[in-house]
Amino acid sequence: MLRSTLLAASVLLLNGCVAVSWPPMNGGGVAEIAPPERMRMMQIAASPTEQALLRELQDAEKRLEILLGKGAHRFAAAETTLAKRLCIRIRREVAGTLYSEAQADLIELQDRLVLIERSLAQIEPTQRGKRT
Amino acid sequence: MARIKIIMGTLLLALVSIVLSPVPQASADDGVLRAGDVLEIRFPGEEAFADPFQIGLDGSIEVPEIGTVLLAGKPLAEAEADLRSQLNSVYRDISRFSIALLDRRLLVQVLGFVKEPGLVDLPASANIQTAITEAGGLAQGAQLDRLQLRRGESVKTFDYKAYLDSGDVAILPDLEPMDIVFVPASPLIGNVQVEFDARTLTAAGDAGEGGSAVKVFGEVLKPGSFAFKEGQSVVDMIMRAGGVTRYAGVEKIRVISEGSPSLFNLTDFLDTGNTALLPPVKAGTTIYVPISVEEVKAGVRTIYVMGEVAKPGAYDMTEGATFFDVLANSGGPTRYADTRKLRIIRTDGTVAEFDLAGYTNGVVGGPAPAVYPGDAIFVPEKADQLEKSWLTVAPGQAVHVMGQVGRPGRFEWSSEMSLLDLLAHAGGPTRFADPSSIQILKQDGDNAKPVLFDLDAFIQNGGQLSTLPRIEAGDTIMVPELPRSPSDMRSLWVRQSSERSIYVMGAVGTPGRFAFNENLHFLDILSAADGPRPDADIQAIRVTHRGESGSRVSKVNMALYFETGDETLLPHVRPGDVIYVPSHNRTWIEKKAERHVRVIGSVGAPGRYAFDDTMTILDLLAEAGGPSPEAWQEQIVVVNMVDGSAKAQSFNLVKFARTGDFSTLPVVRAGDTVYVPNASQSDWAIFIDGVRDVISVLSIFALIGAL
Repeated sequence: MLRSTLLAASVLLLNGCVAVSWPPMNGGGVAEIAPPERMRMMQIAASPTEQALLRELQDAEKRLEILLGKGAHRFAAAETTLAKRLCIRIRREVAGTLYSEAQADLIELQDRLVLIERSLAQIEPTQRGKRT
Repeated sequence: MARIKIIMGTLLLALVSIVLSPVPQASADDGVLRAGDVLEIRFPGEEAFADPFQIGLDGSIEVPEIGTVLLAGKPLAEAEADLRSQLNSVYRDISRFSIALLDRRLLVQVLGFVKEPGLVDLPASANIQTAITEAGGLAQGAQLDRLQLRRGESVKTFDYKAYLDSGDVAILPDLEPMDIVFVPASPLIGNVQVEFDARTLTAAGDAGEGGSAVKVFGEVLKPGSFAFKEGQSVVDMIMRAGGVTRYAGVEKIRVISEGSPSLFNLTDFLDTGNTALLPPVKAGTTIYVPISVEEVKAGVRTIYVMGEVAKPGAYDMTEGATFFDVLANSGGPTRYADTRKLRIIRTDGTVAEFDLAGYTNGVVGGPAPAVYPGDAIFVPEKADQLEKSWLTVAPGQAVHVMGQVGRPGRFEWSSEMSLLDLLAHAGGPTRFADPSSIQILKQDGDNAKPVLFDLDAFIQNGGQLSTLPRIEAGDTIMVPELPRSPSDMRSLWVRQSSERSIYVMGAVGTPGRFAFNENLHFLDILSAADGPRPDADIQAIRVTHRGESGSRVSKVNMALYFETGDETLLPHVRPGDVIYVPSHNRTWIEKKAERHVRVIGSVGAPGRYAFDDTMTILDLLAEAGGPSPEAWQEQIVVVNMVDGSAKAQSFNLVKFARTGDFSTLPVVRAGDTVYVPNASQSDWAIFIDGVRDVISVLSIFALIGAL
């Protein structure tokens, strides 16, 4: 009797030890405001895919900076704002290891930069203001 | 010897005259005492009699110890005897008592219109003027020519003014004690006591009596009643009335003297100086100067100008005077004159028309019409100044202007008129008018053909005047009306064609159909609809472009527009388009999943929330009301959509709160799902539940074994 009782208790206790599996922690939700040291560490420790994406993103951001200097914030304000948001999104996606999404958004970012360049091309250079 | 006799005779006469002349003394001529006399009562040793005594108005004096003693009317000696006898009973020794007349005074009362009426004490030589001066002088309004001297029952009236004019003292009656000088009031001051001055008083004349006064009125500067004075003429009286005014009819001055009227022609008198023309002026005469009245002029050299000229009337034609001379003399046509249809009515009854406006513009050639004495020039009034009447404009010369213009109506048409002339003549479009679609109904025999014209575009863009629609007699111009308020004037919508409308729906202040043209902007129409409501989702405004071949819908992010001010975000809308402003409160089906993040599980308000890339999971949880008390905050799950498939990651909110490590925040994008599990789903909770179940089962087994 005692044996059967201990057996039943063991079976029931094993049943209580069954754990639910939860997804891993990932992060990257505010990657755009990470400190520069962390950014460098991330680049060094990143995979080749991640490094390539970050390099491409940095190039796009530099291109956007140049366009801002030419007055993009005045003559293509909406596209510039959307491009900035896209940069944030891409950086978050890379930090969150959503590489394919980041790749797609980089393509969209390049398209927006082209649109900004076209808008600025229609404006006389004398009319362009400096970045505020 | 004879010379000696003459000298002696002269000396004798002088002596006699000296002896017989009255002695200048204080006593009365007859020696009888009277009121006002001043007596000296000599009674040595008695100080009470030191001052002189004056006989009062009652004829008595107050004597110490014996009282009132009547002295007036008694000779001085008798008066002394009376006093002596009465004092003898009081005083022991009156042997040295005597009286003497020191001075004679006049006690006179001055009443009426003097400044200080009352009793005045005058020297014996005083007269009326002295008495009046002593009473403060004459008051304003005193009637000078009818002063009265009252003595007992008798009243003597005298002309004080005549005395002042002439200086003849004989005009003034002598004064005696107890006399009353009464100064009457002029009748001009009326029966009401008011403050007035002499200038005002005399402005209405100076007559003392209504019956004898001369009345002068009519067109004179100072009409009034004036005192009659013998020998004054009508001219004198008119001058006293200040002369005639500029409007006086001096040829027909009316003079009524003793009930007999007569006319006086002042002009003739001044021209001739014939005093025989002056009618006599007697007491009570009435003189009336009438206002000048235009006479009906007629003559062999008269020409008449009538109608809308500045000074219509009859004018004398001089030799060589032309039509324009006559018209200019009459002041010329007024602004109401119809200068195109002047008429000259000849003496033989024929009528000649003359187009003055055309003549001055050079349209009408030839000389101006000749005018002759007896002719009448008639300048008619403009037709549109008259009452609306079909008779004023012939049907073959009329155009009709209706709708939203200042003065809709039927107007006279002229071949040189353009559409702009006609609209301006009709007062122009009102503020409710829609000038972008003026409708012109052109008459074509029995038929009518409509023509549309965009006056608004023409005015803004300009263009050839020849492109304006040609207006002809019989045409009808309709200026349509804009719908005033789409919310309460829906019945007017039927007047507005769909081609000129735009539709605004959804979460705006006043959804509806609005008049719209190519010159208006997206913001214009959104403002006309009173703008988005507070619940409007301005990030998801949609514009349906209906006028295009295919279907096209523009999405407008007004939030981004307000953030950036980028005008390129605003779509180009055209009449017929539909603007839909969705509400935040719309059903989930209408909300695009790609623009939202689903927040489910143990949060305050699970649901779908708009999300953009500047937000984080913290913003999302805050908007969803935060984790509930039973939430398992250590294991929040984010499901990202990657390439169409889900990729999950966990987030430990408690650890983040402890460390503040932002790198642990998971990536969240629009379209993702955030799940906050319940604490009961944790491993420990599951284990505890299992233990609790085992203990329960074991307890049952134990009970069974015991039994």
